[in-house]
Amino acid sequence: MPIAVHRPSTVLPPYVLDRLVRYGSARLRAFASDTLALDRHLLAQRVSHRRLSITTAQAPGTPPGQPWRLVHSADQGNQLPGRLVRGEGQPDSGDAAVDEAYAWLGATYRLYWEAFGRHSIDQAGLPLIGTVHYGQGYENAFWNGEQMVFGDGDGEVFQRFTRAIDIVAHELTHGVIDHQGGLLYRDQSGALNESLCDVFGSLVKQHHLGQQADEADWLIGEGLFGPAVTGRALRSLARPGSAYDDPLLGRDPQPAHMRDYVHTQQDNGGVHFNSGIPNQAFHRVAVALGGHAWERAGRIWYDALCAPQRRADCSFAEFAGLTLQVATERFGVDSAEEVAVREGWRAVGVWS
Amino acid sequence: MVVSDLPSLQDLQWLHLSREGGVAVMPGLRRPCSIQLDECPEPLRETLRGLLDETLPCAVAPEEAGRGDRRYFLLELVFAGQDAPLRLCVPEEAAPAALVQLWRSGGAGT
Repeated sequence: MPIAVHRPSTVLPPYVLDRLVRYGSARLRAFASDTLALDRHLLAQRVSHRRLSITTAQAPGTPPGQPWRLVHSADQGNQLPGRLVRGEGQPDSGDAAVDEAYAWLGATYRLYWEAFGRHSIDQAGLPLIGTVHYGQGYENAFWNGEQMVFGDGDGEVFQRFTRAIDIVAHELTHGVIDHQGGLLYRDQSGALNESLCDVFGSLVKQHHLGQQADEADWLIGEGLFGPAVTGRALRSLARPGSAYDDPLLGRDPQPAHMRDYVHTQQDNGGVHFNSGIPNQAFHRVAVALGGHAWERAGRIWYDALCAPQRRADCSFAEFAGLTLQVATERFGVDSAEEVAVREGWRAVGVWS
Repeated sequence: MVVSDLPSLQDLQWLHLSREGGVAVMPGLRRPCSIQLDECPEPLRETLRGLLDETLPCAVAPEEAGRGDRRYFLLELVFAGQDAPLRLCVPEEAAPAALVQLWRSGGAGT
């Protein structure tokens, strides 16, 4: 899959790179050759990651219902996973970022276990590996295919990313999605990938706080902004497009309806933009059903994520169809859940 | 795409550069910049072509570059006689230091 040069929506297949190596100019030959080497390196890395995951999963771990957390520090460098600071069951380290990561990874594990019976990222007790203090003033958090990584922020625009429980849960959910068949990180399937991370990120926060759907703030990344920024959070599921409006960062660009769908080459086809649409659909379903959002709306979304027929390039409409199907199967035809799901997707324009 | 479609860097007219991705995707953090190469003095063009030669092997498919909220640099290369730009995605952790410096400077100094 990782190929070097692409035009919009076009990717050079490996056989073309092979041809380049054989027939191209000296510069292009070198480029293509390096790219193939990189691809093979990444492929080998991926195979080795898979082996590592299998090995780790087979290693004696915690029993179902028990997390296995390993929180490291990169000590402002870029080496991963870095120095192990706090392992499972160890006391507070005194380092706020380490202890937040440890606590929020535990809270995320608990939602997945208590609400859905899921034993960690891979359903088999995979260790939850996190690294904090990554880079210098690093303004991001990500899942690298193996572990979660959190920057400290610069203190002015962003604070440390472990402050927000839903950000830690968001990144862990990227791992869950990867282990659940994946969602291609581009266009609508990529926006669904992002939306599911926000949905389960918000549910982890609500579960941790014991909140009902109408008590939750439905924000992602509240508390991350530093003093230099005007804004409440990175995103809002309740009101996409309203999370921040700041001279430095710009205005929250998320749409809440298909008529405002953002067509762009930025951000992998707008995955963090258009996730506002399924986010809004989920919020509508959860609020319509009331109670704890993870019990019914969350259950439906989780079942749809795990449905064996779900494709990696799933569109909004296809995912909506899955949620309706699982709502009907779990709660019955004409149930309140089925009606709420149908109305939720209709309200955001995915269904007319 | 076939081999003959790939243009030479000698024909590069414009370079557009921005930083994409991340869990906190915000318009103000992309900091896009554009450089018109055919108006640069030849030594600077040569420097930029050298930078691109260094950068090209680091590029990956966009789905890989941004996956899981990882950040990456998006380069759009506009060549003479080509309708559509070539787009390259370079993961942040693999980007040459000179490319990061170019982005930070917003193209200044080129």
